Amino acid sequence: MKKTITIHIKGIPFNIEEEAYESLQRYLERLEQKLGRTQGSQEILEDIELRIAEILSENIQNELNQVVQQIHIDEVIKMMGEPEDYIDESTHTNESERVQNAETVYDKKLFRDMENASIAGVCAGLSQYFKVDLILIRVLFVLILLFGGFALPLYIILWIVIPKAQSHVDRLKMRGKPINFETVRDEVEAAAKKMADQGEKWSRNLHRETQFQRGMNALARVMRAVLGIVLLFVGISSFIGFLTIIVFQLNTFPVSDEMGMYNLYEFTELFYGHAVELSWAWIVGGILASLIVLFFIITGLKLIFNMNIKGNKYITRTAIVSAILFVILSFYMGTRLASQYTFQGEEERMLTFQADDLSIKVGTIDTINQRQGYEVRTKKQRRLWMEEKNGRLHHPVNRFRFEASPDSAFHLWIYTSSQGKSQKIAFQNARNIQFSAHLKDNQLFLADAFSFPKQDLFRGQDVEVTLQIPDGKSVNINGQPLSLTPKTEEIPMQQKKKTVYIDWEGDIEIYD
Amino acid sequence: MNAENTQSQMRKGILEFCILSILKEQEAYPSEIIEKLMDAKLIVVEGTLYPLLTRLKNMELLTYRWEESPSGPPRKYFRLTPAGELFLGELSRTWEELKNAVNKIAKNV
Repeated sequence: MKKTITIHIKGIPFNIEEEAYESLQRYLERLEQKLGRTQGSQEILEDIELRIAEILSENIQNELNQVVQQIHIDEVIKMMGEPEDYIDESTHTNESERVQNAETVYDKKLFRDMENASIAGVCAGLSQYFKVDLILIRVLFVLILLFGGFALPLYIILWIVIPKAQSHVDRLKMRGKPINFETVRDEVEAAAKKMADQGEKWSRNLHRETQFQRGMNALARVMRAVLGIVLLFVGISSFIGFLTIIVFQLNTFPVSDEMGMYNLYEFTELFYGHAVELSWAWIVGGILASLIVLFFIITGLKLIFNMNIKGNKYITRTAIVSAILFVILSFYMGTRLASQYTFQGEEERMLTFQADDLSIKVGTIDTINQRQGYEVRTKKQRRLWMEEKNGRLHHPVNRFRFEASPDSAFHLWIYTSSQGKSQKIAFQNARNIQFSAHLKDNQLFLADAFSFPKQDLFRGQDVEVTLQIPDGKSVNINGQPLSLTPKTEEIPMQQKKKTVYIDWEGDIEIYD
Repeated sequence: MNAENTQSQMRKGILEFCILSILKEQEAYPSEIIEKLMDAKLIVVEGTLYPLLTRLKNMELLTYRWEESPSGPPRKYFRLTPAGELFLGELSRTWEELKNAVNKIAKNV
């Protein structure tokens, strides 16, 4: 039995004997070389391939196994004639056509190279595009796969996104050579040499499509469409999202004041104090948002409908210029904002006290009730990033640290820190932070939030609270007993630390 | 110049005229055109037709539409454009003149 392979001619699948396939391939190659420099050569080639498919499908209908054999190809060639018999340059080209043809330049384009494919031709296509050795790219992919693992999704995405080189013109584009007298001559000479050198092996690899690759291509088409729909959905919903946030000034940001949540304008005001800078930030943000939306929608449409969306030169140039301007502007805005955070300032406050059975209450201290003793009210629903009250911004402290005291006294440490565009401002910002801690009898009240003046803006203000507990003293937090590991000789005192995380609900979890 | 070359030049011009004439009657796909041309012994191999069709189409004398085929790949149905009809009219006139002239002269040879 002879080896057969499956090929597609103009979308019609054929089972063809290898020998017959090679002679068909050689015929098409000869034809392509002969047509090379004439106008409309691609179309002529396609028409002829179409006719060959028609003849073959008629002729194999009566065959038992419907396999294309050498005699069928011979028949086809006899009917169509040798390229030398019917293509001759005077048929098509007068001088002006030649000149026009010589100037046809194909831009380099990324295709999947099915000729040299091992899976879907992604690596082979990349190697053609970047003129890098195929082995090198494959090794790189495998290395990334072994060490990072994102090579697999990367490969699949590239598979979906990059079209495969189907026609002969695609292949020329893939190699990025302009089609003119010189390159076609080179091409023909190179092809002839190659044919002579390793004709057999070479032509066997051309156009071949295994069953596996065909299945995978169908799968890739489905995935393209699905990915396209997802992108389109994301694009449209983010467009609606951006529009509602900007146009309707929805109060959606996790910062609240007496009027409710912040809107986008109030939110960005926390970062940019200066009105001019704020408007620039808005412009950059707006462009960025539109670009994201456009990218998703266009890519989605392209994937779904396999569309080739091309703008004219004017639009392309405008887009490039505005992209460059945008990059410069956002770089400037980014560095301006980052400069506000370059210096770090810290302040340390310490309270030393004695107590027997200390009970600690953590919560929002309600100052109104201070005269009747400190009452701790824990706001259960608070899930906001910040709250504005009386011109101050309140930010939750969600981590309190408890550790062993170096002596026999309690020490409450409050570290405040902030950033700023100068050391002085960073210090000042840290100093402006308020954190409430009150000691009365054996009760310590700790606020679950700190505050800073709104005009300081958000500059990374933070507070860390540490309570050092002397050995042998018992302590409870919000009614829950806390015990540090008993002192042993082997472990130095300072290493015995427990960190208590208090989450938004006011519940306590204790970690070693 | 040998006879072969002259013959091929003559045949080529006449072929285009014949293709346009066939398509004047009704639109057709390449195989139908080929059949008629082969019956008339104007062409020997099918390949000859395709460069000519593409050339006529690029000259905007022909246009085509795709149609699914009951068996095999889709077919390109070619038909004349208005410019093609005008062109064919002129060719017909020239052909009549040439035929008369050739008959007159060739008889005397």
